[in-house]
Amino acid sequence: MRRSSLDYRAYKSDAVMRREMEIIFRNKWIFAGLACTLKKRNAFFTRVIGGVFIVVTTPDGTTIKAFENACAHRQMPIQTESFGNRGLVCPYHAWSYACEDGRLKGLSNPHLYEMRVHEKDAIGLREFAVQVVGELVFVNLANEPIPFESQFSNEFVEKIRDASSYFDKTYAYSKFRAGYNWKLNFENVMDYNHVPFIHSNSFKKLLKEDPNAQVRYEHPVDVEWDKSNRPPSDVTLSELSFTAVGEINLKPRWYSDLIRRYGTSDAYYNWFIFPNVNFCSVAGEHFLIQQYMPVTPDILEYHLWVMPAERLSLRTNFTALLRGLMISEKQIIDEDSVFMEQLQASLNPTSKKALHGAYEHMVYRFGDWYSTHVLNDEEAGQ
Amino acid sequence: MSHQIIHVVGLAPHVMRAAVILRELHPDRDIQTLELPLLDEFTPDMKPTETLDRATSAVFAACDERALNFTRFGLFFQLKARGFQFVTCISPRASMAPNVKIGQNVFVASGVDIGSGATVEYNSILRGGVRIADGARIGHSVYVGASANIGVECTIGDNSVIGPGVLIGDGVKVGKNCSLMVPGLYTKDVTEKTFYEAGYDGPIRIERY
Repeated sequence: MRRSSLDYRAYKSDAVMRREMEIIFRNKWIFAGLACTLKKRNAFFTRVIGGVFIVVTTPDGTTIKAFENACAHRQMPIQTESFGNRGLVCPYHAWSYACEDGRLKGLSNPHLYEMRVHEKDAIGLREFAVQVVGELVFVNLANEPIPFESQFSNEFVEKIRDASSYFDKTYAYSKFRAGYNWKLNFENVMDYNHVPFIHSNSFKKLLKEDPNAQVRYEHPVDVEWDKSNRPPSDVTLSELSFTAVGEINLKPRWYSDLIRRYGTSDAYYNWFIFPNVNFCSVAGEHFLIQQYMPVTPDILEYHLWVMPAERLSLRTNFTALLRGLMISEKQIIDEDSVFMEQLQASLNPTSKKALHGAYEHMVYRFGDWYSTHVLNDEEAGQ
Repeated sequence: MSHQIIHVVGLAPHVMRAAVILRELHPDRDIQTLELPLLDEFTPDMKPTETLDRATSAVFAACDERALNFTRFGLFFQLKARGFQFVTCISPRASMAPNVKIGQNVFVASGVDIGSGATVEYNSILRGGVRIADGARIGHSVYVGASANIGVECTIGDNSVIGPGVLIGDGVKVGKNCSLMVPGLYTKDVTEKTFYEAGYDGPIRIERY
């Protein structure tokens, strides 16, 4: 057993959150959305990452670009919807921008501005770096982004690229807020030992009617337990994104034979994507992307994408399935939220640091990296 | 042609609910029930229906809104394909303007009020206390939960689920395959495949690319 590197301030302090926004969310590669939603010219989606409003769009249905979603004129968001298909035209005063590079293309009533040519040429939207892995789009808000490979190993990138190639062309998306720190959620999804206690009923319904059927709660089969006493500063960024495969013994579902399955039917796949995404697949039949965006130290915004594996026949209709999956996933998240909100509320200056067992090695490695890179000496505490 | 036997076919407890109303409506006819087992959560086993004879019996397909009404639609469609005639199941304690159009296999519970010129297409369910205002159009295989209120000239698209107590404002168009499960007043059109479910801050969007 060993103590976490993180004390209550990592979960409760405004100062720490400002620092993690700067060090992580405005500096590292952050998952932003699905490339498959950008197949038509001028298709876009908007996100708020590290407090910055961004718009991810495409000028031609192929190239993906990310810009700050703020008009150069009055900083009005240019796209006000979460998704859509619309050029970069500010709704406030109709300044328009090129989707290719964000430069100012034109403006209505130009005589009112008395803008000179060289002034116009210098105006444009701030552009951000984009990296596309299969269907997953990552953005980096830094002026000089770190190499993508330094955050994600090539092996990991290939795994998520391969998994995303199994997505069906229909997906569901929504979001909601929950009252706890985003890191508690990331720690919770990495801690599979809570499942039999918090989710016993919801998982029971999925299992085969065999008294021996169960979710296997042993350590994931392809992750080696790291019991070394490495100093926290030795933890590298790329090891914090990893694959874990558990065993699950599910009943066949009505759509089991209607899809091109990823992997095997007895596996529960998880790809933990630093810093705040759990990408997973139950039996390779459907995929789920959960992302927890910090809003305040006590509030996160939960983004949820669900998609079945690719249908074998175009005649198959997955609308009802997607609705059912979104409802059942929300129920499972709600089961977690009850406990996470109590845990968040209970953290206080006298709280001890969490005590982790061997199976939680990735939780404390995450804490080690965070304490080294995000907390300054004073806030790291002891 | 009026068949002497009406088979109420489907899932418990909806079969019994419909049978009670049908016995009240047709005291001279033989109302029989046939509850189907489920092959999985959404698929009824149709084997027990193989003994039914379309020459001597009409049917009513009874099922809830599961799988966005697709289970009930599948049940209705399979019996229809075999040539069965369907009856409607309209409670004597529902009230309807004389010019209302009601399709086959529609279930209308006690206390429902349907206004002048409204249409309820086949295989839809209106639960207790629902109010459908004048000129509204309810598509096929729709489910309207108890005490919901559908405004004047509204359209509810096929397969949609309107939750209990939901209020749809006058003239609002709800697309096909929607679910509005968050109580409240909906005053804007809802595009198809949009789900308002409890716990989410906004609609769940279903997109196809």
